Amino acid sequence: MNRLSLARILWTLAVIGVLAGLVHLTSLLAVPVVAEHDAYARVEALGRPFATVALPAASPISRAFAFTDPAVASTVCLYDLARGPVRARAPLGRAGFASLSFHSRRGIVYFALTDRAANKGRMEAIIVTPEQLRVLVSRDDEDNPSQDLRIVSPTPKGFVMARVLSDSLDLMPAAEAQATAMTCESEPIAEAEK
Amino acid sequence: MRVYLFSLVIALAALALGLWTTQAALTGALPISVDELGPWRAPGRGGAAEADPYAHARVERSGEIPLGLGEGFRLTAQTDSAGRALDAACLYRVGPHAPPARYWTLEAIDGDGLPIENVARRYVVRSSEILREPDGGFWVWVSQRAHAGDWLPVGAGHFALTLRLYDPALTGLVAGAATAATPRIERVRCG
Repeated sequence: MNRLSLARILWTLAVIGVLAGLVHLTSLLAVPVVAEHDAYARVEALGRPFATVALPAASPISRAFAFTDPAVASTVCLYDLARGPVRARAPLGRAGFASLSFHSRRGIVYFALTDRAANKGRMEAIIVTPEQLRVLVSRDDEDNPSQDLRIVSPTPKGFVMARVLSDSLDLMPAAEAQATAMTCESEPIAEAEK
Repeated sequence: MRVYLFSLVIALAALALGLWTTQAALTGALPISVDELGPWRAPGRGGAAEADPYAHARVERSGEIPLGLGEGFRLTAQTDSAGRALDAACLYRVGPHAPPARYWTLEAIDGDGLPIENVARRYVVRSSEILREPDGGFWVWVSQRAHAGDWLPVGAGHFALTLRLYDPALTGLVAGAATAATPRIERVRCG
């Protein structure tokens, strides 16, 4: 009798454990889907596509963006690849550190580059869909290859973020100006020549 | 009848347990998929494409715009090096070394990840503006009242410390190597 009820209790616990595991995994995977205030939604609320907008500087008063560094000036630019590839550009200034990061609709950073990768005084990349990449590659001139850094976006929409670190509080306005100089522009692929 | 009731109890217990573990994993109560380096915790790989579901869910829930792997990473400490919760009534010093990186910043944050209001309106200490010993070592003083040297003010009550490394020499976290280099958080005195 005793052994029987012990077996039953263990069985019950095992069933609860397995079901709880399923609930845990399902709810965990559902969080990014149901989260309403994810990074993309908050960035979308700031401005229109292809406009560079400064993120409010981190302070106790502006509570929109958690975990942003008060020493860093940040700007974002929403993009949409529907009308063609998008070119992101950010000039360098005197700041000690600057970077560009590329975020998908799902909040994933799929690419990032720092000022170490800068060329001709600016960081630059062209964002494409897999199809646009195929078209661009098919038109590449083998003798005169494109100098563009091409990045494939996992989603047709997303945003680019520029971060510029200020070496001191006095240099924060300069960092803000440098971050605001970032641009992202649609660059439709020209019709194929006949 | 008893069978139905029994099944219902099992289902409810499983639902409660499953949701609780998710909540606990996301708030950090359960250290699932968190790298620990002394008192410092790295909240997974944040928003990187190769982030695990825990790190991804945590980022989405907080609305944080995470740093990319090539840019740097963020470490957060809720306790001092002895494991005691950080308390604004105490004086702490943080140092003497940080993991090799082009820049780092040290910030005091509240439970929502936002800077803490303070009279001095100083929210962050930068590696580019601190005093250093001849050997490159440093101490940042964390307290409510002003302190000589490099002072990071905090408000009243609970706070956490965030260390951000920009362009670090170690992109991934090699636990053994990085622990040696993460700054210690020493409680100097309280009250």
